[in-house]
Amino acid sequence: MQGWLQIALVLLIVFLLSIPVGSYLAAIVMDRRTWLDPLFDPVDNALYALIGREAARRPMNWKAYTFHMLATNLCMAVLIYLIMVFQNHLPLNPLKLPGMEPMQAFNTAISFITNTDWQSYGGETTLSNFSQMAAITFPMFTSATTGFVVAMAFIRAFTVKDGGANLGNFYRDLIRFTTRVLLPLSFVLALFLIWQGAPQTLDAAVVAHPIQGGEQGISIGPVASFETIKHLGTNGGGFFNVNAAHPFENPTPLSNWLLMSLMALLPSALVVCFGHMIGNRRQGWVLYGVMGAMLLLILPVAIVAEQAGTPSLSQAGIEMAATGNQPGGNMEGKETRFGIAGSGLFGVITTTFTTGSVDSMHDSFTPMGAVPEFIGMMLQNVFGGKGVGFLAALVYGLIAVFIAGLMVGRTPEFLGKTIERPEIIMVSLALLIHPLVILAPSSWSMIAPYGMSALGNAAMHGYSEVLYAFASSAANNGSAFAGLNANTPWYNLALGFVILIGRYPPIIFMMAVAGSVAAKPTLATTIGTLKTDSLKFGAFWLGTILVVGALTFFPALVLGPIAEAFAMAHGRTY
Amino acid sequence: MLLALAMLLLLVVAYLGCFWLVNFTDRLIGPPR
Repeated sequence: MQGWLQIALVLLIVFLLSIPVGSYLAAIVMDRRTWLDPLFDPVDNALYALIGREAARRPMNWKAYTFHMLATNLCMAVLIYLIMVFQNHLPLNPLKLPGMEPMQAFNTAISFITNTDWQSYGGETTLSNFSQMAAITFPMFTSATTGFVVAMAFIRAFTVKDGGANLGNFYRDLIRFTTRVLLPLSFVLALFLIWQGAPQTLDAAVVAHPIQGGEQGISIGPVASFETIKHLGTNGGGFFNVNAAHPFENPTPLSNWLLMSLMALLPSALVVCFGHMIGNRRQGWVLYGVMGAMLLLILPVAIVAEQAGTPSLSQAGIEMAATGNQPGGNMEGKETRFGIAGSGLFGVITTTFTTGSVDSMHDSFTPMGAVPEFIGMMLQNVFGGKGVGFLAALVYGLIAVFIAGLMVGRTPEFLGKTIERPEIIMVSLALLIHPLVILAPSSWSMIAPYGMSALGNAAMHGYSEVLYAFASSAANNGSAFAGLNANTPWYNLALGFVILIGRYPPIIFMMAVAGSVAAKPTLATTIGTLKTDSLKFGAFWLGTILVVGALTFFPALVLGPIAEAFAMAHGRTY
Repeated sequence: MLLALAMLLLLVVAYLGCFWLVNFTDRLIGPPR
């Protein structure tokens, strides 16, 4: 009961915070004055002067906006790659770590510039402090901002009156979101984590003298500042190999609560911001309800399954029910200071809000306890990350509009814009790419010797490891199921490309939709208009996501975790 | 060093593919109606 109360409290706090934060985000995007402007205007103006005022003022249509986003991302990806490969020639490398292996650097550069943060390396044994700051923490800001501003440009397409010639300026949006949201929040919250015990130093390690003799180096570094943007920006890559299960990354139950709230804050606030931007808050709440309903549907599955434990644990005489001095359930791979609720909720939030940080090992979850994590990454729109998850929800929303329009014999319309053949082609492409880059390479990995040789477990559990890796990469989530050795040429290259294809083509297709609808006149609402801001349409939207999602991914889930759950019930483990 | 250059080239080519996709999508979606 105490666990459920903790979960309810986290979700309630996130919900309450998302309302004012969403309103603040809308004020920033819509150029409304805020009380923080006197503080941030000089910073922004200095940055505009640095890049050229004209560059930060020029209106951009969908194509220009997307081009500038891609060009900026390309430059940063190359920079990240070079820093990691040549870190042995760069400063702040007190442990004298060698340069990263090129294939791994290829994977890591794409991973961090796309907000995925998939890691086929252990941070403390692979990266120098300079790499951790310049090649890892830096893109945590820019990749988070990229997703957010693209979503903002998309929403503007439904509000502009100039035919789509101006969906905003990418550089201006990038600077404003970074300086007014991510930097100040990260700074303040890093101080909170330092108070909780997270290190913040440029030293590489402290030397401990264990009682059995000798010396032991304990890695430290600029962890607190890393942790805040990692969660606030739904990034997820760990400073340490075990991510937020490490006591330096996540020292206390209070820091665990903070990190979960940070992961959920901006993606949920973005939906509130959407309602403000289109001048129809009710529409924003309908989408919020759709996403929230999915979260509330899948979250209990993880908690109940983890609390129920496994037949093997029961037979071993382990108490499955929680008591005053032990949490019960399946505690394998979980931190005792977080328990079932703190680990299960973290696991579901990190996969539904597509962060990728972990405070417990997902490979050790019960098969049914892991299913919600798969669903979060496969649907990608149970809030999703900042921006791309929102766009994924809009993909399903536009398909729902199209189907509903056909069913009632009306021209499909969304927010006053007709949805026609070109938009549906783009939306369909955006929808199909996600399952394609999950199911095809994971199937190939199960028949290719170089795919199979990296598995940590056999049979269904092995398939789950591979399926999870590709779902995590395609969803730009980045969490690992573990068990799989992903630092092989095949997985470094394949997952690198899956991350890239999972990120940019859906953005490009949805930006094309933005350009197309922005060029159309806004139709007046009449008695014949299909109302999309109603509870009824919200239910239809939810149904569309569940039906399309189930048809696409259920067979893969049956082959992996669901089959394993049945096998486990009959005493078979893998 | 050769592998490092090859991977760098692959990274750039992958992004060039995205630029191409923008142009292709623009042609696919056609002019505003």
